[in-house]
Amino acid sequence: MHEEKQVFGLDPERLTRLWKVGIENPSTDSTGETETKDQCLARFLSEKIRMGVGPDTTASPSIHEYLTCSSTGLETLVKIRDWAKELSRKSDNLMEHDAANTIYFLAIAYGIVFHKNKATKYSQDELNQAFNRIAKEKWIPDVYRQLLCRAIIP
Amino acid sequence: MRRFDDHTSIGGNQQGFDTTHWSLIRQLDCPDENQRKEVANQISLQYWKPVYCYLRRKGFPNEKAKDMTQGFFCEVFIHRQLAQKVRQNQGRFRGFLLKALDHYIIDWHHKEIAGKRSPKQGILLDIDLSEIGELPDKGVELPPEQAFQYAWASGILHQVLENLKKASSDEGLSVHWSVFYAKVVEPILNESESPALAELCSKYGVQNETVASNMIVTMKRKFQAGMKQCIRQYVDSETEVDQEIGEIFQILSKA
Repeated sequence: MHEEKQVFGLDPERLTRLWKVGIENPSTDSTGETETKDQCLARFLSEKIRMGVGPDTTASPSIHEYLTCSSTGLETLVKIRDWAKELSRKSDNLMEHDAANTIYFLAIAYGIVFHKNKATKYSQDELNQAFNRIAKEKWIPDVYRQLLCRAIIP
Repeated sequence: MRRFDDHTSIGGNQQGFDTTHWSLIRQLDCPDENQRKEVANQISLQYWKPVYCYLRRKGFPNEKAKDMTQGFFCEVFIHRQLAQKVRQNQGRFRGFLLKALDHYIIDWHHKEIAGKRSPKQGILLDIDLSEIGELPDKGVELPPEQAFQYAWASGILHQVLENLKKASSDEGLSVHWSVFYAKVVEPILNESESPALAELCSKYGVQNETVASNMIVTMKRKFQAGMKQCIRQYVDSETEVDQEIGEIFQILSKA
């Protein structure tokens, strides 16, 4: 009974954290107690945002799919950017705020790399600083780290 | 036997409230002593740790607490009148057990003072008392009732994790379980840093971080369903399941 020994050995604080896993809404896990930043980012990236006037279907690509293929149009990127900006504004915890900001800058980085269009009022120097800072985070998946590095223009 | 009409499929089980510990306790009414022993055994295996923790925090020394834990389940649960009392005393099994334990302690004291307590008699249950040595200091340091609740919650979490692990294996979701365990459970149990999703993808051959994250969400949902299913066994109705989960959380938070 591997887990039993460990569960019974937990101090009340950790036991409470484990109990909390059974309470929190798993898809909107916003407390940061059990969901980590990379997990939060992955959750946001798996979202399918409304791209047109018609109803979204489950077949719609996720944000992750848009940002990792090389044929996403600028209009779609702007929608992703605005969605992330709004999400960041509405987030009531730092983890979701950071994850949303990351998607915001990923959309801009994608525009620079694949469309030569930075789609923001930020200067390239400011963007370079942001891309550099985010790329250094260990919770950033490699595919996005590479995108951010490619978008840095000296 | 009563079946509740408000049963829902939340938690994924297809059974009503006719297979709870209450119905188990009603089986203690049967004349067959072996059957009563089997029922008492089933209940004691799950709940002897909260009982033992409570007795220790009530001030009983280790050996005496062990004897009393055995005695409680043997004398109280195999006693036929308990089943009759239950009919008028339904509610949460947790509260019922604690109340029964308090009565047992008073009765134990009376018999001790009167010199009527006979040494270890009756039917011994299959409780593995060797596990007592592994109970955590923290749980035993708490006030009696909190120690009881602490051990109670520990038992539920243990059962939920064991069931989830087995169900994952049965359903071909072993990778889901491994990712969930490594990302969510293990860091809490070991007080270690939660591994990056990318690391878990590489370790368990998961396609990408999004897939891994979705696996975790799936398993959290199953964990929650498992917790509800576990608690359903000892409350009266579906509405009490969430109340019980919230109440135990409040108790643990204050510990």
